[in-house]
Amino acid sequence: MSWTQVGIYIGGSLGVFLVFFTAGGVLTYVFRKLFADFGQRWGPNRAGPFGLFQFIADGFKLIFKEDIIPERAERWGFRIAPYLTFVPAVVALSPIPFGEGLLLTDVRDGLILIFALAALAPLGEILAGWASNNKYSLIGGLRAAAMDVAYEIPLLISAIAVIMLAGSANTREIVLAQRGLWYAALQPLGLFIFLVAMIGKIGVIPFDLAEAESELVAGYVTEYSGMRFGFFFVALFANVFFTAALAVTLYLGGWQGPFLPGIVWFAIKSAALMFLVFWVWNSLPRVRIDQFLDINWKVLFPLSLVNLLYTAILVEVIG
Amino acid sequence: MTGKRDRYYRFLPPLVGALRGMATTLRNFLRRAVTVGYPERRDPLPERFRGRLFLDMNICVGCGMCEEACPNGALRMVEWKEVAAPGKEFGHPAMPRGELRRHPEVDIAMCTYCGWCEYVCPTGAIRHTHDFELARYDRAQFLRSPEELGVLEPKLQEIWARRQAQAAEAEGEKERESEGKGAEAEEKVEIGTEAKGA
Repeated sequence: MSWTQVGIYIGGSLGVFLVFFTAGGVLTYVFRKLFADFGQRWGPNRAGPFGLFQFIADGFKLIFKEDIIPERAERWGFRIAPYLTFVPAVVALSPIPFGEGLLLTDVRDGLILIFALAALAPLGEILAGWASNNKYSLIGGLRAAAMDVAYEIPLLISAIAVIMLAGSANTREIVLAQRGLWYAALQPLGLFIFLVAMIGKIGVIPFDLAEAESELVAGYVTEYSGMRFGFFFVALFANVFFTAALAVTLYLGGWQGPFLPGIVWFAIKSAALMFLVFWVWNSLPRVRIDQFLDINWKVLFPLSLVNLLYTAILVEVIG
Repeated sequence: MTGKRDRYYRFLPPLVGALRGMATTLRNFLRRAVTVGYPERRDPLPERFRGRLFLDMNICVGCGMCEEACPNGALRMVEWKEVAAPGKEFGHPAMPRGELRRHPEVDIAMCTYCGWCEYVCPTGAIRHTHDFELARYDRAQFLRSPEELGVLEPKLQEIWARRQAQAAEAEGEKERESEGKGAEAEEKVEIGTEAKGA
């Protein structure tokens, strides 16, 4: 690898990181505005025109807040946990193709890499719950662990169906394989399973059991304050972006679309999916932890196996 | 534990319910916001809204019914020596100067805005207004003398601010002139305090 290549790679990584970070920040603004609209309110409207600088103000607030580490906490684990949830989600974004040539890490089996990295994030949640030395944090962390195992399996099996259809685990090839027909049309069940499991992965309201403020104060983030909390918060919204981008790549034809350039199509599709997430977030009540595990193990998991069988037959028939 | 029927409905109804809920939220999403950007834009107050009390000393007969009616003791009658003259900020030129009368004063921090004083007043001298922005930094700023009740809140705040400026000016003068005449200036500024203290 020549030095220019290394330079391009580092520049690209920084670019993805920046996209990721600002997407997380801007999404907090969009999130609050949308929430306000769902509740027939105005939402942030003070900082800048239409309250557009609200997320910058929030960032400054978080940075200048006192950073408290509980006395009996496991200091090392407490400090490292926010980055453990945040960094894997950033890195997992790099094998996702945003446009025709906008693919940072074109590894042969990019999808496997993405899922491996995405599976690291719950480790941070579990560690945060353990290191905080707080009963609510601990319960939140354990719930995060239970949920992780539950949603990850249907998520992966529905992704495997896509790999079977495309004949490749390379993200770019999966997108190119959808040139004629999106996999959403061939895999409606798979898409449904993926979307439900994806909301579980993001951990928002129907499935925000690891935080569950009415039961667990704030779950594994209970003891976090200041910018450490900010990292969890940005990681949450970044996860919304990441999972939406992944779903677009797997099911909605990635960057492909008529007339407009690829990146615009990608943005439109992922924005639609993010809107769906916020919509569900605003509409549904929180399920209980046993209900969540029920849904995932007893409904989504068998359904994803059925979907896998259906896909196998489909691949045989199409040839 | 769960019957056949329950098992059958186990998966289907939650989804139907979820979709219904999402339809509801989407309908709300498309509606206009019901809140307004408060300080700049305001919803019109209801006509019979009960805000800060207002007193017209010209028609108050000093009967004290309002004091009897007040459930909190926020309102009480004070002896009020009319000191105002034409051209002053307060006061009522129709009244003979130096006459001693009884009028209500109100601690607006104690007032529950029940409207009983307004109800019992035989002449309609005491009334609720649409003034509702009554938050202040100091507890001492909640007592309204009869003459202060005759001015709406924004105007009253202006008057207070002007007086404070005058007081500060007088303070400065006093310092410059050393002791001597200082006491006189102080007396001039604090109009009406004797009546309040009574």
